[in-house]
Amino acid sequence: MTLEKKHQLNPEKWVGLYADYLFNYTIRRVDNHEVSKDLIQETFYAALKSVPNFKGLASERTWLIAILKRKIIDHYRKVNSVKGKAEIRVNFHQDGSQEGDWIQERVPAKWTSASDYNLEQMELTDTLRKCIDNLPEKYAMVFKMKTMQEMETADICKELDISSSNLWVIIHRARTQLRACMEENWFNK
Amino acid sequence: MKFKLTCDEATAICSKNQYGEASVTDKFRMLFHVLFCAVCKLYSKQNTFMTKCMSSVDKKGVVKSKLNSEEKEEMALKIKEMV
Repeated sequence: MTLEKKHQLNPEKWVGLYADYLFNYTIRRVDNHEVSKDLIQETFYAALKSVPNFKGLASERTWLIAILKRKIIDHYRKVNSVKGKAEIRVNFHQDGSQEGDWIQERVPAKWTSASDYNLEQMELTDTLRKCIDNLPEKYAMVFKMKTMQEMETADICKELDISSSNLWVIIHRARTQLRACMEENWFNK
Repeated sequence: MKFKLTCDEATAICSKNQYGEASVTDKFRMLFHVLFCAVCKLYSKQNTFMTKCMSSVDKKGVVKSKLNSEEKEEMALKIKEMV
Protein backbone atom coordinates (compact mmCIF):
# COMPACT_ATOMS: atom_id res chain seq x y z
CA MET A 1 0.00 0.00 0.00
CA THR A 2 1.38 3.34 -1.01
CA LEU A 3 0.73 6.69 0.54
CA GLU A 4 -0.55 8.19 -2.69
CA LYS A 5 -3.60 6.00 -2.46
CA LYS A 6 -6.24 8.28 -1.06
CA HIS A 7 -8.97 5.74 -0.57
CA GLN A 8 -8.82 2.16 0.47
CA LEU A 9 -11.27 -0.68 0.48
CA ASN A 10 -12.48 -2.56 3.52
CA PRO A 11 -14.90 -5.18 2.24
CA GLU A 12 -15.53 -6.51 5.75
CA LYS A 13 -17.03 -3.19 6.73
CA TRP A 14 -19.14 -2.64 3.63
CA VAL A 15 -22.40 -3.98 4.99
CA GLY A 16 -22.13 -2.01 8.21
CA LEU A 17 -21.17 1.21 6.50
CA TYR A 18 -23.11 1.22 3.26
CA ALA A 19 -25.88 -1.40 3.21
CA ASP A 20 -28.56 1.03 4.44
CA TYR A 21 -27.46 3.80 2.15
CA LEU A 22 -27.36 1.54 -0.90
CA PHE A 23 -30.66 0.00 0.06
CA ASN A 24 -32.41 3.37 0.32
CA TYR A 25 -31.00 4.35 -3.03
CA THR A 26 -32.22 1.12 -4.63
CA ILE A 27 -35.67 0.86 -3.07
CA ARG A 28 -36.53 4.34 -4.35
CA ARG A 29 -35.90 3.05 -7.83
CA VAL A 30 -37.13 -0.52 -7.87
CA ASP A 31 -39.70 -0.34 -5.04
CA ASN A 32 -39.28 -3.97 -4.08
CA HIS A 33 -37.57 -5.21 -0.95
CA GLU A 34 -36.26 -8.54 -2.27
CA VAL A 35 -35.09 -7.14 -5.58
CA SER A 36 -33.27 -4.31 -3.80
CA LYS A 37 -31.56 -6.74 -1.46
CA ASP A 38 -30.44 -8.92 -4.35
CA LEU A 39 -29.12 -5.97 -6.31
CA ILE A 40 -27.05 -4.84 -3.36
CA GLN A 41 -25.67 -8.30 -2.82
CA GLU A 42 -24.76 -8.47 -6.49
CA THR A 43 -23.14 -5.08 -6.20
CA PHE A 44 -20.97 -6.29 -3.35
CA TYR A 45 -20.00 -9.38 -5.34
CA ALA A 46 -19.13 -7.36 -8.41
CA ALA A 47 -17.19 -4.92 -6.26
CA LEU A 48 -15.19 -7.71 -4.63
CA LYS A 49 -14.28 -9.06 -8.02
CA SER A 50 -12.99 -5.72 -9.16
CA VAL A 51 -11.12 -4.80 -6.01
CA PRO A 52 -7.81 -5.11 -7.92
CA ASN A 53 -9.04 -2.46 -10.35
CA PHE A 54 -9.90 0.06 -7.65
CA LYS A 55 -7.61 3.01 -8.16
CA GLY A 56 -8.46 4.83 -4.98
CA LEU A 57 -9.50 7.97 -6.82
CA ALA A 58 -13.08 7.90 -5.59
CA SER A 59 -14.35 7.12 -2.13
CA GLU A 60 -15.50 3.62 -1.40
CA ARG A 61 -19.12 4.75 -1.31
CA THR A 62 -18.99 6.57 -4.65
CA TRP A 63 -17.35 3.55 -6.19
CA LEU A 64 -20.02 1.19 -4.84
CA ILE A 65 -22.83 3.46 -6.04
CA ALA A 66 -21.32 3.50 -9.52
CA ILE A 67 -21.43 -0.29 -9.59
CA LEU A 68 -24.95 -0.34 -8.16
CA LYS A 69 -26.16 2.07 -10.85
CA ARG A 70 -24.96 -0.36 -13.48
CA LYS A 71 -26.82 -3.18 -11.70
CA ILE A 72 -30.04 -1.15 -11.70
CA ILE A 73 -29.77 -0.55 -15.45
CA ASP A 74 -29.15 -4.26 -15.97
CA HIS A 75 -32.20 -5.04 -13.86
CA TYR A 76 -34.34 -2.61 -15.84
CA ARG A 77 -33.15 -4.10 -19.14
CA LYS A 78 -34.00 -7.54 -17.84
CA VAL A 79 -37.58 -6.67 -16.87
CA ASN A 80 -37.89 -4.70 -20.10
CA SER A 81 -37.03 -7.72 -22.20
CA VAL A 82 -39.66 -9.93 -20.60
CA LYS A 83 -42.08 -9.86 -23.48
CA GLY A 84 -45.67 -10.96 -23.69
CA LYS A 85 -46.19 -12.24 -20.20
CA ALA A 86 -47.03 -8.98 -18.50
CA GLU A 87 -47.73 -6.62 -21.34
CA ILE A 88 -50.07 -3.71 -21.11
CA ARG A 89 -53.35 -3.85 -22.98
CA VAL A 90 -53.36 -1.91 -26.21
CA ASN A 91 -55.77 1.03 -26.17
CA PHE A 92 -55.29 2.49 -29.62
CA HIS A 93 -55.26 1.04 -33.12
CA GLN A 94 -51.61 0.47 -33.97
CA ASP A 95 -51.93 0.54 -37.76
CA GLY A 96 -54.32 0.76 -40.68
CA SER A 97 -56.63 3.63 -41.50
CA GLN A 98 -57.70 3.91 -37.85
CA GLU A 99 -54.15 4.21 -36.53
CA GLY A 100 -54.09 6.24 -33.32
CA ASP A 101 -57.83 6.02 -32.73
CA TRP A 102 -59.31 4.51 -29.59
CA ILE A 103 -60.14 0.82 -29.80
CA GLN A 104 -63.88 0.60 -29.26
CA GLU A 105 -63.84 -1.62 -26.16
CA ARG A 106 -61.14 0.50 -24.55
CA VAL A 107 -62.88 3.84 -24.83
CA PRO A 108 -63.12 5.52 -21.43
CA ALA A 109 -66.55 5.34 -19.85
CA LYS A 110 -68.01 8.08 -17.69
CA TRP A 111 -67.16 7.50 -14.07
CA THR A 112 -70.31 7.12 -12.04
CA SER A 113 -70.77 7.51 -8.29
CA ALA A 114 -69.60 11.09 -8.05
CA SER A 115 -69.50 10.92 -4.27
CA ASP A 116 -66.68 8.44 -4.51
CA TYR A 117 -64.45 11.15 -5.91
CA ASN A 118 -63.68 12.12 -2.34
CA LEU A 119 -59.91 12.04 -2.08
CA GLU A 120 -59.97 11.61 1.66
CA GLN A 121 -61.40 8.18 1.21
CA MET A 122 -58.82 5.60 2.15
CA GLU A 123 -60.22 2.97 -0.16
CA LEU A 124 -59.85 5.17 -3.19
CA THR A 125 -56.12 5.66 -2.73
CA ASP A 126 -55.74 2.01 -1.76
CA THR A 127 -57.34 0.97 -5.02
CA LEU A 128 -55.05 3.29 -6.91
CA ARG A 129 -52.05 1.88 -5.11
CA LYS A 130 -53.16 -1.64 -6.05
CA CYS A 131 -53.59 -0.61 -9.67
CA ILE A 132 -50.09 0.86 -9.67
CA ASP A 133 -48.71 -2.35 -8.19
CA ASN A 134 -50.43 -4.30 -10.95
CA LEU A 135 -48.57 -2.51 -13.70
CA PRO A 136 -46.00 -4.63 -15.49
CA GLU A 137 -42.66 -3.97 -13.81
CA LYS A 138 -41.03 -2.10 -16.66
CA TYR A 139 -43.88 0.42 -16.62
CA ALA A 140 -44.15 0.48 -12.84
CA MET A 141 -40.50 1.31 -12.39
CA VAL A 142 -40.51 4.34 -14.66
CA PHE A 143 -43.94 5.46 -13.53
CA LYS A 144 -43.05 5.35 -9.84
CA MET A 145 -39.72 7.10 -10.31
CA LYS A 146 -41.48 9.90 -12.15
CA THR A 147 -44.74 10.13 -10.17
CA MET A 148 -44.03 8.93 -6.66
CA GLN A 149 -40.38 9.86 -6.31
CA GLU A 150 -40.87 12.94 -8.47
CA MET A 151 -37.51 12.51 -10.13
CA GLU A 152 -36.47 14.73 -13.03
CA THR A 153 -37.08 13.28 -16.48
CA ALA A 154 -33.43 13.73 -17.42
CA ASP A 155 -32.25 11.90 -14.32
CA ILE A 156 -34.51 8.91 -14.91
CA CYS A 157 -33.37 8.72 -18.54
CA LYS A 158 -29.77 8.74 -17.42
CA GLU A 159 -30.27 6.20 -14.67
CA LEU A 160 -32.18 3.71 -16.79
CA ASP A 161 -30.32 4.54 -19.98
CA ILE A 162 -33.50 5.30 -21.98
CA SER A 163 -34.49 8.22 -24.21
CA SER A 164 -37.01 10.81 -23.05
CA SER A 165 -39.47 9.89 -25.81
CA ASN A 166 -39.20 6.31 -24.61
CA LEU A 167 -39.94 7.49 -21.09
CA TRP A 168 -43.06 9.40 -22.15
CA VAL A 169 -44.42 6.44 -24.12
CA ILE A 170 -44.07 4.32 -20.98
CA ILE A 171 -45.77 6.97 -18.82
CA HIS A 172 -48.58 7.34 -21.35
CA ARG A 173 -49.24 3.59 -21.46
CA ALA A 174 -48.97 3.26 -17.70
CA ARG A 175 -51.48 6.03 -17.10
CA THR A 176 -53.91 4.70 -19.69
CA GLN A 177 -53.73 1.31 -18.02
CA LEU A 178 -54.25 2.87 -14.59
CA ARG A 179 -57.29 4.74 -15.80
CA ALA A 180 -58.85 1.52 -17.06
CA CYS A 181 -57.96 -0.26 -13.83
CA MET A 182 -59.59 2.46 -11.72
CA GLU A 183 -62.67 2.30 -13.89
CA GLU A 184 -63.00 -1.46 -13.46
CA ASN A 185 -62.14 -1.61 -9.78
CA TRP A 186 -63.48 1.56 -8.33
CA PHE A 187 -65.76 3.79 -10.32
CA ASN A 188 -67.91 1.46 -12.37
CA LYS A 189 -67.50 -1.62 -10.28
CA MET B 1 -45.20 18.84 -38.49
CA LYS B 2 -48.85 18.10 -38.95
CA PHE B 3 -51.17 19.99 -36.68
CA LYS B 4 -53.87 17.39 -36.23
CA LEU B 5 -53.31 14.78 -33.57
CA THR B 6 -54.61 11.24 -33.28
CA CYS B 7 -56.29 10.25 -30.01
CA ASP B 8 -53.19 8.28 -29.08
CA GLU B 9 -51.01 11.36 -29.53
CA ALA B 10 -53.43 13.72 -27.80
CA THR B 11 -53.72 11.54 -24.71
CA ALA B 12 -49.93 11.09 -24.66
CA ILE B 13 -49.52 14.86 -24.50
CA CYS B 14 -52.19 14.98 -21.82
CA SER B 15 -50.14 12.58 -19.70
CA LYS B 16 -46.97 14.55 -20.26
CA ASN B 17 -48.84 17.66 -19.24
CA GLN B 18 -49.71 16.06 -15.89
CA TYR B 19 -46.07 16.61 -15.02
CA GLY B 20 -46.03 20.11 -16.51
CA GLU B 21 -43.65 19.02 -19.23
CA ALA B 22 -45.69 19.34 -22.42
CA SER B 23 -44.55 22.08 -24.79
CA VAL B 24 -46.78 25.09 -25.48
CA THR B 25 -47.34 23.99 -29.07
CA ASP B 26 -48.29 20.49 -27.98
CA LYS B 27 -50.68 21.80 -25.35
CA PHE B 28 -52.35 23.93 -27.97
CA ARG B 29 -52.66 21.00 -30.35
CA MET B 30 -54.11 18.88 -27.59
CA LEU B 31 -56.68 21.50 -26.58
CA PHE B 32 -57.71 21.78 -30.20
CA HIS B 33 -58.15 18.01 -30.45
CA VAL B 34 -60.17 17.88 -27.25
CA LEU B 35 -62.49 20.56 -28.59
CA PHE B 36 -63.78 18.08 -31.13
CA CYS B 37 -63.18 14.77 -29.38
CA ALA B 38 -65.47 13.97 -26.47
CA VAL B 39 -63.66 10.73 -25.64
CA CYS B 40 -60.28 12.38 -25.20
CA LYS B 41 -61.92 15.21 -23.29
CA LEU B 42 -63.27 12.66 -20.82
CA TYR B 43 -59.90 10.92 -20.70
CA SER B 44 -58.20 14.19 -19.98
CA LYS B 45 -60.57 14.95 -17.10
CA GLN B 46 -60.03 11.51 -15.57
CA ASN B 47 -56.29 11.72 -16.07
CA THR B 48 -56.18 15.02 -14.19
CA PHE B 49 -58.24 13.53 -11.40
CA MET B 50 -55.80 10.65 -11.14
CA THR B 51 -52.95 13.11 -10.74
CA LYS B 52 -54.75 14.54 -7.72
CA CYS B 53 -55.24 11.04 -6.29
CA MET B 54 -51.61 10.26 -6.88
CA SER B 55 -50.43 13.11 -4.69
CA SER B 56 -52.48 11.82 -1.78
CA VAL B 57 -51.21 8.29 -2.32
CA ASP B 58 -47.74 9.70 -2.06
CA LYS B 59 -48.43 11.72 1.07
CA LYS B 60 -49.75 8.69 2.86
CA GLY B 61 -46.37 7.27 2.18
CA VAL B 62 -45.14 4.16 0.54
CA VAL B 63 -44.02 1.79 3.26
CA LYS B 64 -40.40 2.59 3.79
CA SER B 65 -38.82 -0.78 4.00
CA LYS B 66 -35.43 -1.29 5.53
CA LEU B 67 -32.94 -4.09 5.72
CA ASN B 68 -33.18 -5.91 9.02
CA SER B 69 -30.15 -7.04 10.98
CA GLU B 70 -30.51 -10.68 9.91
CA GLU B 71 -30.44 -9.70 6.26
CA LYS B 72 -27.37 -7.60 6.86
CA GLU B 73 -25.62 -10.39 8.73
CA GLU B 74 -26.34 -12.73 5.87
CA MET B 75 -24.86 -10.24 3.43
CA ALA B 76 -21.77 -9.74 5.55
CA LEU B 77 -21.34 -13.49 5.77
CA LYS B 78 -21.54 -13.91 2.02
CA ILE B 79 -18.90 -11.23 1.56
CA LYS B 80 -16.64 -12.91 4.12
CA GLU B 81 -16.95 -16.18 2.24
CA MET B 82 -15.76 -14.50 -0.92
CA VAL B 83 -12.86 -12.53 0.50
